[in-house]
Amino acid sequence: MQNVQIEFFGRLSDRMGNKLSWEAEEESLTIGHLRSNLAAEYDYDYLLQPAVRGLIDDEIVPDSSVITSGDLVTFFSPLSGG
Amino acid sequence: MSVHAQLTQTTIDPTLVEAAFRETANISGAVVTFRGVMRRLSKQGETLDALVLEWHPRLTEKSLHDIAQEGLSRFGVDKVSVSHRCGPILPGETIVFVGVASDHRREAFQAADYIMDRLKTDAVFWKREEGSFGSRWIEPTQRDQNDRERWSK
Repeated sequence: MQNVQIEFFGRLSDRMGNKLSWEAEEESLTIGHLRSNLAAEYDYDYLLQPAVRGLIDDEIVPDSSVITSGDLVTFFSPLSGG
Repeated sequence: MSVHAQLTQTTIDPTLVEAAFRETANISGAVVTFRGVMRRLSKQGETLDALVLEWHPRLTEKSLHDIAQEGLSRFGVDKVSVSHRCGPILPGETIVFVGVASDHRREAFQAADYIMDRLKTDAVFWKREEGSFGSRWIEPTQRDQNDRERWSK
């Protein structure tokens, strides 16, 4: 069981808010697992789109990346540029 | 050679920003500047009340700096300056200022063009239009993507 702090940017924040504190049951939680869990919990398939990028501590990471205690997880909607 | 990149929530005065850039670039033979302005109508022809640029507290300004640095390095120009608004922007206000100074004009034009194409697709922003229709997110157009791809060839 671990607590994960998550931030959302762009279109995602309409549904998910800007910040979320998530209690994960898995000991070894990946970005991909978290993405799937959130999509199911919030009934929000948009989170599963490959164009939605996951970050750990401000670095874009693949879905296989494992989240460890104290990590800041972020999900980016597709960038719209300036 | 120098790069300046700034993210600001306050109004950009294009006259002041351009004058400041020209002052720092006063030994260069070519100075190219570009100003992007908040349009008054959407692509669908609706009147816009505002454009909102959501930004990331750490990664957005870094992306501006990285793009400016890559423009400077790629074209070997002397100076690049990027000032970009974030937050709510009103019609007619300046969204972005790009200045490039170089020994020769062609590199300055190319660097400014490259930097704008990169900003339009790779800068860390999420853009929302607001008007009588409500609020809607907008993403890069195919034309923006094609413009960006030109520099990959």
